[in-house]
Amino acid sequence: MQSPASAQNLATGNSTSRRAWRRFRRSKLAFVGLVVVALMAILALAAPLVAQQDPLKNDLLNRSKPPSAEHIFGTDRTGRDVFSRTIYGGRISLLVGLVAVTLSVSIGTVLGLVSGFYGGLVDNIVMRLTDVIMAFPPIIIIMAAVPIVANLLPSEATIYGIMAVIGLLTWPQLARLIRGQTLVLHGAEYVIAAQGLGASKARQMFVHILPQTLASLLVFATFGIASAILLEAGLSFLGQGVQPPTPSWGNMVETARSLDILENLPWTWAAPGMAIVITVISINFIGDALRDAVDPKSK
Amino acid sequence: MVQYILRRVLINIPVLIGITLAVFLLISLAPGDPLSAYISPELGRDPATIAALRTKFGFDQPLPVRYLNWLAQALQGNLGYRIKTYDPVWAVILQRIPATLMLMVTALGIGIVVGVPLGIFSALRKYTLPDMVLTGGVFLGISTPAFLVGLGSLFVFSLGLRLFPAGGMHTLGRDESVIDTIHHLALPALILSANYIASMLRYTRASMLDVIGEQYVITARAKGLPERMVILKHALSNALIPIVTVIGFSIPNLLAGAVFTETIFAWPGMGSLFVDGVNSRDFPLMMGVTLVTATAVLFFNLLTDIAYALINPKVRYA
Repeated sequence: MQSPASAQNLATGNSTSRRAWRRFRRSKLAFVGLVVVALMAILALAAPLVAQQDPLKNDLLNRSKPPSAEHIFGTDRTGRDVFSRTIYGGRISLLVGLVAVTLSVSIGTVLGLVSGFYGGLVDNIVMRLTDVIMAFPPIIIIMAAVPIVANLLPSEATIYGIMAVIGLLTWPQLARLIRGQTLVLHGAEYVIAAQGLGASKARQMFVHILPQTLASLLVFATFGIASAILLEAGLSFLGQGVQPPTPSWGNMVETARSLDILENLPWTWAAPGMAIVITVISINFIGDALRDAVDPKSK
Repeated sequence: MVQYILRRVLINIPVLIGITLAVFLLISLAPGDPLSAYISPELGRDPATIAALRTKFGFDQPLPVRYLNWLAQALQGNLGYRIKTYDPVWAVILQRIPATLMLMVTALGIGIVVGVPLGIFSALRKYTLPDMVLTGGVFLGISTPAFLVGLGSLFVFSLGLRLFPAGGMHTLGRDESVIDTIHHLALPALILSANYIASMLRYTRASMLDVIGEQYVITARAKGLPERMVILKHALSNALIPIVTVIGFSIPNLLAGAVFTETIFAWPGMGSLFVDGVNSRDFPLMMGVTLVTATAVLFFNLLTDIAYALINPKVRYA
């Protein structure tokens, strides 16, 4: 069975999604963003090939060296290669972004659909739950939850705990968005028709309504990855995220909280800092173009 | 209007209960014996006394009863006692609130004073070079985490140019003066506002562009009003309506930003207190700050809703 959206695609050849895709392709910033993000992903995947030096190995003869031909981003206090650490740190950052967002998108979508579809008490409970979670500033509730979750997990699994906490606490915006659209689509003629043909509730929700919400879901997921990366970096910067010696962009920047390193070894924190900004800004470029492309107001 | 306010207050009550439930749940999951931290240290700290007090305060009861006991304590201002120093958490937080408010209000002020005019300018010069530069700046502003802006500015302005002190609220060993405090406040407040200027600019620009195409703006022009009047009086006053909500929903972000800026600049507010609490695994303190910030956010949301209804009658009667 084809979803209504794709059936419509085939029939008209000039569907909403195609027009959106054309608008998206017009955006030069989005193109730049896509190229940069792809590059970052490749670097992260191929880390052992790109970064020849061991990111964890101390080299006491080459401590605190500024960038040179051998160490293009220099070395840190204990002689570790900053370039290697930045590349390996990217692995963690991107992974946290992807896993956390997958989790929050799944929860947000299901709860949003159910809430909008069933209405009444279910809707009320889910919406009050979103109100409660959204009242906590993200970094504060995550910082409060991570030590508790970490305490329940073995230390090498802390990073998965962090992904789970970020995912579990960032879904409410999406749930609200999907709920709003479901409320409208619930009464749409094609959904009523499907109901009349005997489609189960789950089928109506996931096969008939869900495809129509994919656009806003995609936009949310894109911005969500950016903010999950920022959250992990912030968490690690405050010493609660990825624990050294494992490199992450956040905990590499954290070393610069010592004024001595901030002043005298700027390359050790500027490299991961730039990596965060470049990655996040590229993802935001993509998200912005996506949003403009699927926004019915922009023709 | 009174009815509207009452309705908003009532809607927020279950949310407030939810917030306390969430915080209590976290406390219950915390390692060790977190509820003991709610027993006044003056009553004694030896295990036997604590065991007796636990029974007396009902901490050995089932979870729902424990929640109600805890809530009753919290409502009386007992947020527990700090793990090592035994200072009452609520008193410690209360002491830190003014510094955080000072930082946030200054940052909010800078954000509005800089962001709104730039947003109007950007909208009026849509797709020109200055607009594109500002839009680029907005992307940079929302994509750069507060801690990087903080470290970068510390590097350039405090260590490099030596324009601002590198931390604290007052110069040590000197009498407290307003000028000295402003000097210490300037850099953290500017950094905290960076993100905020970007989002104010972005929303003002979008809101202005929405309004500028409206019929009544065209009518105002057709009447022969000078362009200044059209923009500042007719367009702007309507464009500003959605901006009020932006102020409201930025409060959680400002609080989060304060956590970083206060930590970097050793600013003695709630944010740095919270980080201290997390680092020393001082759960009563962490949970106290979490509860207070969430309640504050809820309160500011309520204020925003009311302010929005005051300036936009359409909402009141909906």
